[in-house]
Amino acid sequence: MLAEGIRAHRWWIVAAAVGFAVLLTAPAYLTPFQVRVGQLFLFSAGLGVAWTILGGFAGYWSFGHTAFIGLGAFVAGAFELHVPLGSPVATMVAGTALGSLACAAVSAVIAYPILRLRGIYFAIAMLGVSQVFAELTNNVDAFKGTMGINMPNAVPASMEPQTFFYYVFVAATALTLGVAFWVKVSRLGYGLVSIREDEDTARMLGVPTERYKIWAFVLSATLTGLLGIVYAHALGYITTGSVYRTDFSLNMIVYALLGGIGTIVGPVLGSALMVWLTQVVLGRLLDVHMFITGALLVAIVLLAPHGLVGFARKLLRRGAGGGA
Amino acid sequence: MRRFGRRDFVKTVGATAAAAGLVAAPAVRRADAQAKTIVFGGSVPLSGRAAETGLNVNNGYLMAIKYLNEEMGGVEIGGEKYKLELKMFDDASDPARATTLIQRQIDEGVDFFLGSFGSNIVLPTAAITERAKRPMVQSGGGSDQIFTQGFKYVFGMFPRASRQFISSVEFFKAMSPRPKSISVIFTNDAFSKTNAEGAAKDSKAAGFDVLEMYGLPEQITDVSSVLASVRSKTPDVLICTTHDQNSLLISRQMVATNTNVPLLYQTLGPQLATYRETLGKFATGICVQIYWDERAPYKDKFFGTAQKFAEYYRKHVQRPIAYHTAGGAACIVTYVQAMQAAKSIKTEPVRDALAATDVDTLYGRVKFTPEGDGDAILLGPAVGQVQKGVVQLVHPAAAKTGTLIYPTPKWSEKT
Repeated sequence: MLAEGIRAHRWWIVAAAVGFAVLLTAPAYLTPFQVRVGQLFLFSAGLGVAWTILGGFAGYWSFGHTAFIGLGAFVAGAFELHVPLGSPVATMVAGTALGSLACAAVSAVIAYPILRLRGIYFAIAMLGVSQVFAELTNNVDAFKGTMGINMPNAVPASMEPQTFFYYVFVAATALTLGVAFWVKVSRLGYGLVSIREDEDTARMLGVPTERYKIWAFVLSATLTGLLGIVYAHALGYITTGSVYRTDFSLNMIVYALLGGIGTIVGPVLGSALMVWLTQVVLGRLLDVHMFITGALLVAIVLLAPHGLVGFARKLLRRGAGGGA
Repeated sequence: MRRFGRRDFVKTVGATAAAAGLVAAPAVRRADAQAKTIVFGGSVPLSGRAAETGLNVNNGYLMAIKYLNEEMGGVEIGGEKYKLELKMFDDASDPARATTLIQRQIDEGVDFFLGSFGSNIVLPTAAITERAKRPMVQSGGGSDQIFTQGFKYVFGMFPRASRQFISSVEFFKAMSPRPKSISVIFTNDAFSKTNAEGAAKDSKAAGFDVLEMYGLPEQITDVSSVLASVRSKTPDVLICTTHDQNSLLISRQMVATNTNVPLLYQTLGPQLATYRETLGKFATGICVQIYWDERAPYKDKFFGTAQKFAEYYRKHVQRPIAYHTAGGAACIVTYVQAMQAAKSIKTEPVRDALAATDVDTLYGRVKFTPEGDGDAILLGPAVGQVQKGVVQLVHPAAAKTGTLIYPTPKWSEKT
C-alpha cells in the first residue's frame, strides 16, 4: 500500500524534495529577517500538517492543540533546566525527546475518553484540555509557568541563532510532512478518511475506528509537541502565555481551511500565505493590520471555499474542459 | 435593488487594503525625506492580551516624541539638531511576531530600540537587539531573567522583579513606631509571587519577623480561612502583593470579618478611584505602591516637571494617564539625554552613556544598575496612603505629599 501511495504521489514527492532542497540553501542568500520569516513559515506549516492528521484526515477538529505545544515546551524546558547534560546540544536533544514522549504519553491517556466525543463536543473538550494544561503549568512549581523558563542555549558559536533554528525547523517540519504522508497513503489514512466520511458505517464495515482515531490523535499531538519544543528553544524564554495560546490552535485550523482541508499541501500553502501576509506585507502597520488580515481571509474563503488546493483543482478542471 | 455580489465584495476589500496602504505610505515617505532624523524602533502590543497596557506605553513614546519635535523643534546633540521618529509595530502580544519584525528593523538599520510590554516578549526581542549590539531602553519587562543574561545593551526603567520591594522595606524601616512583624498574602502569578519572595527576603534581611506567607490561586474568590489565620497571628503589617481585583476582595473580606491589622499594604488596588469608591471610608489608611504620580516633585530637562508632562498628555490624549505612559516617555527622554551626554548618535557611545546615566526625568531620577535594570531605590515604587479618599505620597521623603497615619484605625473606628 505504501509503495502504491509513493507511485501515485511521485510528483508530489519530487516537488517536496525540490522544495526542501531550496529551503536548505535559502539561508545562504536570505536576510536574517527573511530567515526568521522562514522559521515562522516552517513552524506554521508543520503545525497545520500535524493538526491535519487528526482534523483533516479523520474530521476530528481540535480547538485545543496548543495544549501539546505548551506541554512539550514546558516538559522539555523543565527537564533541561533541572537535568543539564554534558553539552547544550545533548541537553536540547534529550529535552526534545522527553517533551515529545510526554505529548505522546499524555495524548494516549486522554485519547480514549476524549475521542468518544464528536464534532463540536470534541472541539470544545480539547479547548478545555488546553486550558487545564495551562493552569497546571502555572500552578506546578517545577514547570515555572508563571515565572518563565530560560531554555538552554544550544546554538553553536559559529552560527547565527536564526539560521540554527531555521534548520531545526526544516528537520521537524520534514519529519511532520513525512509522517503525514505515510499516514495518508497507509491503511490508517484510508481508515481515517472513512471515519471522516461516516464513522458509524466505517465501524460497521470493520474499520477499527477507536484504534485508528487514537493513532491519529497521538501522532498529531506528538508532532505538535515536537514543533512546540523547537519553537520554545527558538524564543529562548517562555512563560505559560508564550506557548499556551488559543490563537495557535485557531491558526492551525485557518492554515488548513485556507489551503484545503484534508490535504497535506493545503496547510503548507495556507501557512505560507498567512505568514507572508501578516509578517511581510502587513508587518509594518501599527493598527489596521488585523482588520486587513481578517478582510482578506473572508475574501479568500468566499472566493475559494475549498481552499487554495480546491481552487487550483477547479481551474485545472476548467482548463482541461476548455481544451476538450 | 442590485445585489451585493462576490465581485462587489472583492472590490470593497481591495479598496480598503489600498486605502490602508495609502495611509501607511506617507509615514514612510516622510521618514525618507527627513534629514538628520533619529529613528526609534521596536514593538508594542496594541492587540492581544497585553494591548491595554501596550497602548499606555505607546502613548508615552508618542507624547514624548511629539513634544520634543513640535514644542522644542527637535533635540540638539553634539551641536546638531535632530528630529525624532518613532517606527513601532504591533507585535499583537506574540513573541514570535515581535522577534521576526524586530529582526527586520535591525536589517533595515534601526539603531535604537524601545521595549514592548511583558517579559515574555521583551526578553526574546532583547536577545536579538543585544546580539546586534543595538541599545534597548524599555519600561515593559521586569523579569529577573532579562537582567541576569549578561546583556550590555538592555536597560529597564523598573528594578528587576525580585528587587521591586526594596524601596517598600525602606519605608517600613522609616515608619514610627517601627513595625516588628509582617505577613504576606500573594497569588500564583509572576508579579505577585516575585514581589512576595522579594518582600519576605528583604524584610527578613532588615530584621522584620516574617510570620506567615499565604499563597493563593491567581484568581481568588474567598480568603476567609487566610484571614482567620491573620486574626490569630496578627502581624504589624499585612502585605498583599496582589492585583487590583484581588486586593479589593481581600480588603472587603477584612472589613466583613473585622480582621484588623495596624497597617494594610497592597501593591496594587488603592491607586484606582474605583477601588477607593467601592471601599468608601474603609479605604482610609490602606497603603499602596505607587510607581509614578504626577504630583511628585520630579524635575525634567524637557517637560519641566512630571505635572507638566501630565498636562501636555491630557491636552492631546483622552485616555487616562498611567504610570506605564510616564515610563514610556521617560525611555525617550533618557535616550535623548544619553545621546547628548555622548555627543553622538552612534550606538556604542550611546550605550556607554546610558550605562552611566544619572539624570532627573519626569519619571524620577533615572539610574541603571550594572546589569541594566532600574536602581531599586531610585526607580522602585514610592508608597501612597489613602487619606480622605485620595492617595497621598508618604514615602520617600523627596516625594511626600502627606504624612503617614500609623497605626491605622480599626475598621469600626474609620470615619
